[in-house]
Amino acid sequence: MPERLLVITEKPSSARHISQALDDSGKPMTLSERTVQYHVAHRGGDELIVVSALGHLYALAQTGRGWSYPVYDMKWVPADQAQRANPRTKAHIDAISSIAQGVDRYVSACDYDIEGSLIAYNVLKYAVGEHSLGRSRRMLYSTLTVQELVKAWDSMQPTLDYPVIAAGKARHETDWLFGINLSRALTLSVRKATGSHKTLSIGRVQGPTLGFIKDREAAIQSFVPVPYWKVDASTEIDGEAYPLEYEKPRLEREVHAKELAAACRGKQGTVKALESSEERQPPPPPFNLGDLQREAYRVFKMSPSTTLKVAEKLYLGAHLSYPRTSSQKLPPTIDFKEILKGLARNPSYAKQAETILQQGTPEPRQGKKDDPAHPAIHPTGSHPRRLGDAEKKVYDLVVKRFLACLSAPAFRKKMQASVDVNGYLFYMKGSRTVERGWIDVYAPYHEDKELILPELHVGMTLPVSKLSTRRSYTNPPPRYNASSLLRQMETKEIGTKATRTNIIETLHKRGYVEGSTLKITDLGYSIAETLEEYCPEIMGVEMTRRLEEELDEVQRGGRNPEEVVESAVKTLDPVLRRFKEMEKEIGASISETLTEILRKENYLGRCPSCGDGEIHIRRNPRTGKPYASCTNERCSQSYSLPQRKKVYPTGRRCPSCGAPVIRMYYHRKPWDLCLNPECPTKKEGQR
Amino acid sequence: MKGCRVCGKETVEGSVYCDRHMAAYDNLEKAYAKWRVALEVNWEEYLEKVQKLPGTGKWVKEVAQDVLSG
Repeated sequence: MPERLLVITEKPSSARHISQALDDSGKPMTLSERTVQYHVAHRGGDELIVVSALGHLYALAQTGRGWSYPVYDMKWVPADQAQRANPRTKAHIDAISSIAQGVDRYVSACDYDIEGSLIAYNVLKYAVGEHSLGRSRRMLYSTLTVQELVKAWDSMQPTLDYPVIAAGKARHETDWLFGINLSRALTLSVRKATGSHKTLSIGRVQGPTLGFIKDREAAIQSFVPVPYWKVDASTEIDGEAYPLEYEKPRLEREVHAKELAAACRGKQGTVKALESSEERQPPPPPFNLGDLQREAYRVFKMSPSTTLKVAEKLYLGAHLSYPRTSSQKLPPTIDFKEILKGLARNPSYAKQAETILQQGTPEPRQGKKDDPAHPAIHPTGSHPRRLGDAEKKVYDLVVKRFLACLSAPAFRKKMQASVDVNGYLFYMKGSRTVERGWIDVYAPYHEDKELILPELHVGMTLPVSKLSTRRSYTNPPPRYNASSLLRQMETKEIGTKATRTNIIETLHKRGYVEGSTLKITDLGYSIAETLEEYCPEIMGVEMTRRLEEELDEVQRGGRNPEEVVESAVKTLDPVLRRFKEMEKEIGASISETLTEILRKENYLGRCPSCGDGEIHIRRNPRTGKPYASCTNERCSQSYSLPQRKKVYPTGRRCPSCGAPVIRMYYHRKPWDLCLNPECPTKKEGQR
Repeated sequence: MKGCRVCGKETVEGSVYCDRHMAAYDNLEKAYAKWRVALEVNWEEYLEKVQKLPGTGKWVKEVAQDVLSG
């Protein structure tokens, strides 16, 4: 008997792809309910209503009122009631409730990961009603291609993926408990110490991540360089210079460097031995998300968050597979031949794809890491047109990596001559690629240095044409960049592939780090240092890693989610008690740095009226509205400020009237404005 | 309680420096042993040279200056 099915997807573009793939004619109808678009497809007599969520439509909020801590009671509510959410959230939920009327069965077709599973579950439970859960199925796919979507539809799981949903819920609830309590504790301690409000945040993963950056900064600021000496030498054969490497890359004593220089300068060397070897270089494994983010940073200097956004866009366009994967493996269930045939239609990849196809059954190089939900990131074989610059780059990188991992290994020949110069041992080293294999396919993203040695034989004498020693110093460790910090988070097993990028963004937003080399700010350092002293568990990796393991166990079905959330509360409670006891000390410890930051944020410039005072942003204690006035009690200079826009100091004075110039942003574009409403420049504008 | 001789913050017990500057001072002493193996250099010359190097940390420079100024 024909049925009506409600199919819930994560994003509007996936709703479009899924409805087109599943509709018998490939042309579903597009309708709208309260401005929310949905698609009606027909398949084998059934009517499929495909509607998307807008990411998370539900979020956690505190049960009860008040802005204090500890707070352990929470509930799921429409996202617009809990936080700053998409303003269309409410209309969207209402529309789904309305569309769901008269539906027989339900399908969760959100992305196959904990976020996707939880998004669909919450929509079904709260917007449609609990009755829908027992009549819901789960559709699993890794690409939005017609072939895979049809296969996913035909082999749907008979129920929702409850272990994944439970893990998602437990993860959200644990993160909410840590985030809300610790951030409130921090903000309130500073408010008590300074009387000023500045939203500060710290969380389960944010704390240890900030700790890594702080520890690195401490290592840099307490670093003492140590001198060492390097030997620069070369020989000349048939007019060509070849470097001679001294057997020790570094000399630790100046006296040794001087002795070596005196003994070898102007002397002849003798070739004592010749060695050569051939090295097999297997192709690189296919990308997981972390690898793709690091490679895009290395070759394009693209930030991990941009890479993720671009890769997701390419996934939603059905050009790439699902990017939030840990897997470095391409299982045999993937139709490599079909993908290669698709790529062969694209002139940019035709030659390489056809070469691999001609070699028979393609066998990809596999990496070590696996992901039960998704394979490594790979192209779908579509021929994308009209891609933006960033999309072109990421797409090209993924396609070439995919083709490379299906290609033959490269071989490099290495040669080494041992050269004795007056009792000191030097090496002449050469290397060249004899078979380029995957290197050609992956060009221009990988290139080895080629250094070809001339014809040499044992006993041959070589002139030391140049020899000098130079003093160098050891360097401090480098600051983290987004790529190396992601690797550190992965190595220490904190956060997930889906959340790590957001953590780095939050550190920027909160003003704890700045710049692309992630330099910790005074505020970030002060918070990290204070929390390390008073709540070391928050800054260490142990507690976070243990919670991650427990959450993973929930996903594997081996642990009760309520138990994990309870365990999080048990871990958090003593920390919050200590925080409360030490609130004054914690606030005082951060307040010095914060007061200076707030002063800088609020300082607009010298007062043009009295010349003694400073113009500062203040708030009317009764109405809370911002204004600017002079700090000199005898001066009455004040200015109105825009009420709905954040105002930034520029440090400049108006060249016409001397009043401070402020900056505001409209649609991300800066707009500088003189504060004085009577400024002659404004009068000119009016005329 | 007296503050750190460099920055005025709370000192580490038994030291004239706070934890940051104490760590920097410890590193200065450890690195001096390596410098003496590498070069003929006395403590004052070492501190002066270290202060001028671009790779030297800010806290180390501050401590070196403090030690030199007695």
